[in-house]
Amino acid sequence: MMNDNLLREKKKITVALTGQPNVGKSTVFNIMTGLHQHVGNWPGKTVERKEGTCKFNNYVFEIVDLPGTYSLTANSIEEIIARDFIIKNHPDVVVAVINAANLERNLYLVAELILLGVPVIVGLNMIDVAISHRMKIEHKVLQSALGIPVIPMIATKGIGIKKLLKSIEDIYEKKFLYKPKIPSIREDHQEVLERIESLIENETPEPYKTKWIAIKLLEGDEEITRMMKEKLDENSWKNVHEILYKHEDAYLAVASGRYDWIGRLTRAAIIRPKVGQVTITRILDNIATHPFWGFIILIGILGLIFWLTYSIGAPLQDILDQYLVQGSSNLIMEKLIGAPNWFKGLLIDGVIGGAGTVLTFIPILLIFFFIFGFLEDVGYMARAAYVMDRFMHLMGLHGKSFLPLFTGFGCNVPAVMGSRIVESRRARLLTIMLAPLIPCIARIAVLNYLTPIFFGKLAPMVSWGLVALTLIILVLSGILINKIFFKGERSAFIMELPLYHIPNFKTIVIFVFNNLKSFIVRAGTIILIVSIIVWLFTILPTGELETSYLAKLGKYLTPIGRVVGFDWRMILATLTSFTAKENSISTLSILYGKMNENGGLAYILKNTISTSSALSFLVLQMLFIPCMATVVTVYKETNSWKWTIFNIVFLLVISTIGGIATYQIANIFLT
Amino acid sequence: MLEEILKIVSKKGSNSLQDIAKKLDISKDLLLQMIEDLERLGYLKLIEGECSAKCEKCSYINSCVTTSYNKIWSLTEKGFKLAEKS
Repeated sequence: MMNDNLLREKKKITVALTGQPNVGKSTVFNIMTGLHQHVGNWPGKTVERKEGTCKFNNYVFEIVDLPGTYSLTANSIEEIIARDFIIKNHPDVVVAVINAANLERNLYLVAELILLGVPVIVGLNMIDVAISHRMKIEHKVLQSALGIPVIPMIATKGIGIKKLLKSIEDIYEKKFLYKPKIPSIREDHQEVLERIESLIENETPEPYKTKWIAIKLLEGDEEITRMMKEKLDENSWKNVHEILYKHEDAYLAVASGRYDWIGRLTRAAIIRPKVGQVTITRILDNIATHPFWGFIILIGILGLIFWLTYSIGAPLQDILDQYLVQGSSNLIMEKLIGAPNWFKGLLIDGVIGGAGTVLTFIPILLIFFFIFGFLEDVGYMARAAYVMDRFMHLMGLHGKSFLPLFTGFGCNVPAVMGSRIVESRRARLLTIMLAPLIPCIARIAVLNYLTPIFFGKLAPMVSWGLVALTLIILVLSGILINKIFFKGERSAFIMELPLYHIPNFKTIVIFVFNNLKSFIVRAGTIILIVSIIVWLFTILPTGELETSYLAKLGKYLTPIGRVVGFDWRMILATLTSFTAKENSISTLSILYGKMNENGGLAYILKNTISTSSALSFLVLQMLFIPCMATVVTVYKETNSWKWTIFNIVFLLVISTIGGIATYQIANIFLT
Repeated sequence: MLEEILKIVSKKGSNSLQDIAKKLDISKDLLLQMIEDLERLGYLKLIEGECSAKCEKCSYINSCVTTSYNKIWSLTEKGFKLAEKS
């Protein structure tokens, strides 16, 4: 009887199992085939081939497990095996196992599979992982958008396998309306595709499809290109090759088409969580990275940093100065009253003078680095870098350089060291070259001391003006150096901003400690050593400052001093600032008056130095070569004498020009 | 869509991943995939840190690239040229 015959013969359906690596394809294969599987090799290759059988209803499924691949290019054996099997062996159904938690990435393979002309079923596996990532996938939406079956599964729990088998049956028996929405090539290349298709139409070998071959040619697929070159006659190939050559970037058009397709599908089908770290970050960033408001917020926060640092730190610094520095000098004067003068001098001017510098600045640095470190850890500094990026670009740098440069306001030494986070050598070098132009707290201390003397109530404005001037010169220098030495490379970046997160106290403490350490250890040791050396030059050979070697040098340089409005004392003060910037003040007080009569010094300065000289002195100080500690750090970080010397010479030149310009211009307006 | 990414990046010197994803109305994951493609083809270049400092002792561990916490890509000359063409 007819029925008996039909029942006795089970229908055979060949199924190819594909998918990217790590989507659970083997699990699916094992569940389907159980013990009825056989492992061998693909003919002539070392790649493993697994096949098996599965009985379902009246069918016997012959399943071949194709190698896991990310796409179907000709770049690897696995991909070639996979696509050859589907094209040449023409299975009845292809099952694409995909990882639901990574849907977008996995869909790229599906985009290529549905071009091959064999019905594809999507096995949407690892739904549980997607759920744990709080993603919801509307598989019915996906199915209707794709036009092919989408079967949700959790293979590790055996869920969905039966539905998958049923779907295979339905496809085979044409019970499912199979209407795949195929990705198209980007609009502007549609005509090119058609032209190639018409050129190769008659020569496409079985079982390949013309359209697929044409797309592969545009993609630059090596295997297909070789095949068609042999297949076509010389003239036809010449035409095809010409088109391909003219449209070298056609690969992008093909890929773009696929990405557009993926975008459309996932926009509809994936629902992402609306809560948590990701959304808070997004909301905050709407303001923090806003082209206008982001900048305002940055200025506000930077202003806050400075305000907090100085309002808390300055009084602390005064206390330290009074009790520690003055206190210990007085103590030494008392206890060592009988000791030789040079010894007292060594201790007071050399050691305490040098070490005193380091110690009194610690409170300010502590607060500065703490706030900076806090903002770093919360994740805000990455936004600051992003907002500043626009301006950094003028100099051929990018936002990241802003971070170490900003720490320069504390001390230039950690700023130079911090340049390590800048990736390209060129940008790192440029950042290091510019870091010494950032006014550190020592230079700001000089400003704060001298401006009230000469400008009274206008002092804060003058100070701010000088800082602004320095920064403008910094930007101009950056543009200049970038143009001359780095050929003004144009640059554009994409950066991934980290999520905001709750700050970790320990991390911040480590940050503060590291930066403080580089100041105390590096700067401190060198400042101390150079202080002693300079002190030596201030007493040799006669023991009197006015006739010392250093004074001789100062007097020798007087002609230059005239152009900038400096007398030999001011020149000397500038030279000693090489030790530590605020040494210029102590040198001035030694040379103009007695050390302990600070009120007296102000009076003397006001009446001895003209305002224009004072102004040029300040400008020169701000732009002058950095303290020795910074120079040493520049050398250590650049590992190049050439760049270190360039840095010194460059700063020498612009500070001198700045001083001359200021003095001459100020003279015109102030006299 | 791939060339649109290059165009957006070449116009504005610095771009955040989130920005571009929002402009193109796609997820960050899909954008990352496309960026990797563009990188493979030479239109973008992943900037690798060449740092010699030890990460545990470094202050900038949050901003640094070598910890692969944050990735930064730069547009190559090839990328600029393509962006200008379209």
